Amino acid sequence: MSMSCLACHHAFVPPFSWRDLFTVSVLRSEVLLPVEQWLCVQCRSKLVLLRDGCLLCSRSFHDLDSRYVAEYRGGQICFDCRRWLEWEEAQQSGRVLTWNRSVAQYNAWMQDLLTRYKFRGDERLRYFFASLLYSHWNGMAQQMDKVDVIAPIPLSAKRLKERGFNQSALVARLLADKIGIAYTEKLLLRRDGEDKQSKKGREERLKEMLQKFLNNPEQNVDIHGKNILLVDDIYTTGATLYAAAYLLKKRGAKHIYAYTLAR
Amino acid sequence: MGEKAFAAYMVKGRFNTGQVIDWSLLTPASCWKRIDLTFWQSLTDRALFTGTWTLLGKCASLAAIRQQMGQAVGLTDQKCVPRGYTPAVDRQTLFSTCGVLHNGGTVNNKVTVHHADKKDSSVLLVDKIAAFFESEDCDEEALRLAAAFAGRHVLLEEVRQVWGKRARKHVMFILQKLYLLGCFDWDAPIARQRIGRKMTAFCQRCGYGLNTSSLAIRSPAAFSSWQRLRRTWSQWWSPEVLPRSACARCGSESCLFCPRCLQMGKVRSCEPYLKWHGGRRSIVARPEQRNVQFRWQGQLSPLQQEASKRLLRFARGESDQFLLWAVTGAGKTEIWFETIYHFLLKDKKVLVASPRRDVILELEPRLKEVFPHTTISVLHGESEQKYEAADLFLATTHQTLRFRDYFDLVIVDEEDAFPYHVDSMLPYAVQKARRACGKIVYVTATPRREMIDAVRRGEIEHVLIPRRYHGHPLPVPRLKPVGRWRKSIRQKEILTPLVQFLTELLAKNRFGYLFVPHVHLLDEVLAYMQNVILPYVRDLSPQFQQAFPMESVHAQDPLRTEKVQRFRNKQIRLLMTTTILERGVTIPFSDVAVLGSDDQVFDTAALIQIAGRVGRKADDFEGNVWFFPEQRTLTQMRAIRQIERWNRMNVPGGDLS
Repeated sequence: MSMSCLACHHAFVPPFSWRDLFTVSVLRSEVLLPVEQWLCVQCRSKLVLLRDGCLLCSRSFHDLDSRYVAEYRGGQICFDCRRWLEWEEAQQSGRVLTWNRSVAQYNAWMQDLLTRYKFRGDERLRYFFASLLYSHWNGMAQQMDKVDVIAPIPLSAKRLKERGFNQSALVARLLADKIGIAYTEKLLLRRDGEDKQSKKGREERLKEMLQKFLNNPEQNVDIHGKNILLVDDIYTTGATLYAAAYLLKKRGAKHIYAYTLAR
Repeated sequence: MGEKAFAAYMVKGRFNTGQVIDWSLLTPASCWKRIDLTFWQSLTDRALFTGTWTLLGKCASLAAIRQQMGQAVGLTDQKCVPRGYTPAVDRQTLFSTCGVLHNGGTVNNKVTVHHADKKDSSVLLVDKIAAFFESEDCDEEALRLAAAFAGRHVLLEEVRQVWGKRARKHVMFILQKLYLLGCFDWDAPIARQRIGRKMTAFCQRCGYGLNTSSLAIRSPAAFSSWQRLRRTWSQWWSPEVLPRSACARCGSESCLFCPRCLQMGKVRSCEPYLKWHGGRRSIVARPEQRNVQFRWQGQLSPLQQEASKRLLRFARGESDQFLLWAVTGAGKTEIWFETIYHFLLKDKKVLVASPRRDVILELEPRLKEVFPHTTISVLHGESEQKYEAADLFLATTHQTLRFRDYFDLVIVDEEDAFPYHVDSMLPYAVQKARRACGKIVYVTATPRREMIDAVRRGEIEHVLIPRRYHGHPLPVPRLKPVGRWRKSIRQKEILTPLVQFLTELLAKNRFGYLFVPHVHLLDEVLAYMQNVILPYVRDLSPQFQQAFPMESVHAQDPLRTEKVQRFRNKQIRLLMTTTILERGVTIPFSDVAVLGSDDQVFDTAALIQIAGRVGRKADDFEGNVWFFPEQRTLTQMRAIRQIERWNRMNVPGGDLS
């Protein structure tokens, strides 16, 4: 059976495995498939999976100067994360975000795909992105304490109306359904921001970010002493995730992890 | 605003918002926000709805509504309601049957809505509209908006984007007014159609969901008969289905969207779709009679004249499709100039569409010269003037997606060119853009099998021009197998045919195209030609020491237009390319070679087009066309035979075979 590649739309034949011989794909109504089923060979080479990067944010050290790499608990972390650690000390809050894991590198190809997903609104891509997260989850489920709740980073009401969907929520829901963990969108609320955050500097972004999230008044999940997995699309400086995690931490969550699609 | 009309649109709001609105206090603008959008939403997903709606109103009884509406709750009285609600024009007819229930001062009225299946939008209440214009100070802004969108079928989002910057006032307010004037109709971008026993939803803009073809985006050469079989199979197996999603805009859990035409703005079933009326039905005041001038000094060859006459006869006649089948370099463009003029004179709208942007860009200056006083709008992906009123439109087939029921004459130039028949949304778009009585002319040198079959069955009128305008025969390709050339190139062995090709270019001071099957071969072949063949030729014949710039170009090349322009300016002597230059770009005094012409990328049509690059000028009618394949194949032989057959023919409209 040939199908068309998700990214370049050219027809390709996904690799055939023994499993295909014994299962009928109609009966197996699986939506989260391995990467080989989604992408053709050329596109798979453009998708750069992140491995062995920064311990805390999984940034790859491949093109990073060694000056920006620091030692941390027997591993290496990047400069950004070191600054976050300093910030956490200044706040005296303990670890806010235990770690973030990003699946893919935020290169031009990934940017294209995310643009198609977020701004053009090709919601079918959620299956692909959830598959990416799921395959990553399979590989590293042992590393963390048991996760109790999966929650997406919310969009502001205005943005949600404009876009019609929350890109992180779609992915998070699929992931939660697959691995059987409770899912909620009601942990946080986000205020309307005037301009898009991608244009701002780090300090500025951080300062605003901390005021951006609110506790959701109608939340119905008790998160005291629970482990929470946040899901977002892109990890740039981490300000969004740290701000959200900070709020959850103050409400008594035990550990907060983050999953992002691209770094 | 007329009081009655105001009341009329109050009612349509009334019966679906379900909110209690104090309608005596509403201004038109606020009405708009509360009413029309929600009204539209209720229609969207129930395009064929017949049932009962509940009206909630603050008035004491139905009699009060009657009074306010001028006895028009039944909405059958033509005089008092604007277009859109008269029996002849309407989307629905309202029958009021009133169960009047009192609960705490508000009244529930049951109103049954019957949708009329057929719309007849030809009836216009001209006097009503004139009255509107007189009663209101006529808003320039609104009229310009209506003129710019005439004939189009666009999302509300697009209107907002385009006009939001220019209009000082609230766009929605202008739209409300235009709606009441009957300039456009609300529509749903996702419509439903009964196919067999099933109701299927499809995207009105691109036709996704109609299942006209299902192997979506592939190169045309990739269809073998086996794949065609599988196409039928896959239509049954995986039909085009519009995906559902939970939409935060309308709150519906199953809001449909179209995945195919996302590029032009997302089509959702909750997004309003505006159908703008245009042409003679438009109420927008037209400027006084246009001065159409036809300024063309050229001379048609006898064959062209004959074809032009046939085309004119077709334009006056009954049938609606025409195939202008003319060999490459026959002067196709000049043939339809007169037909266009004929239509423009009658104040009709003409569209010249082509799947290729190059073709459009090349036509633009020519048409502007020929019709100096006609407004011409050029639409392609990067054009500035996307929404402007015009009489003659030049557009890529992708841009025609935005039109509906507008053109009296559509000319599809190079209709067999690449994406057109691979992406089923393009034929859909072109068919949609013409009016019901409009005519289509297909112009091509290499019609597809289906088209020829239709001509044979007599479904399409046609004319065949087997000779170039200068009367000389077409250059016949010469086929020279070169063995395993990929390996030779890798090992830097000399391929003698290429040496001969290059020597001739140098000796006769000509320009050359070298076609290769795939993009990834380009760099390799370019390096090979520069570092192996060229020095070898210079060794053999030392007189050729002049500079010989070579370049390669492909579809994704960022410098594509620049390189082609340099080739046109004769700054590049040999251009290596893929099939993207198979049509459109013509340089006088050039030769063509096709390396690997047996590759499946080059089908017969492509080979004929490539051979047609050569010898098009009257002062250079002889040129060389070389095919350098690994082996002889049927496709190449068919191309050569076809060209030879044309050269033997003499009469236009000769038999088809």
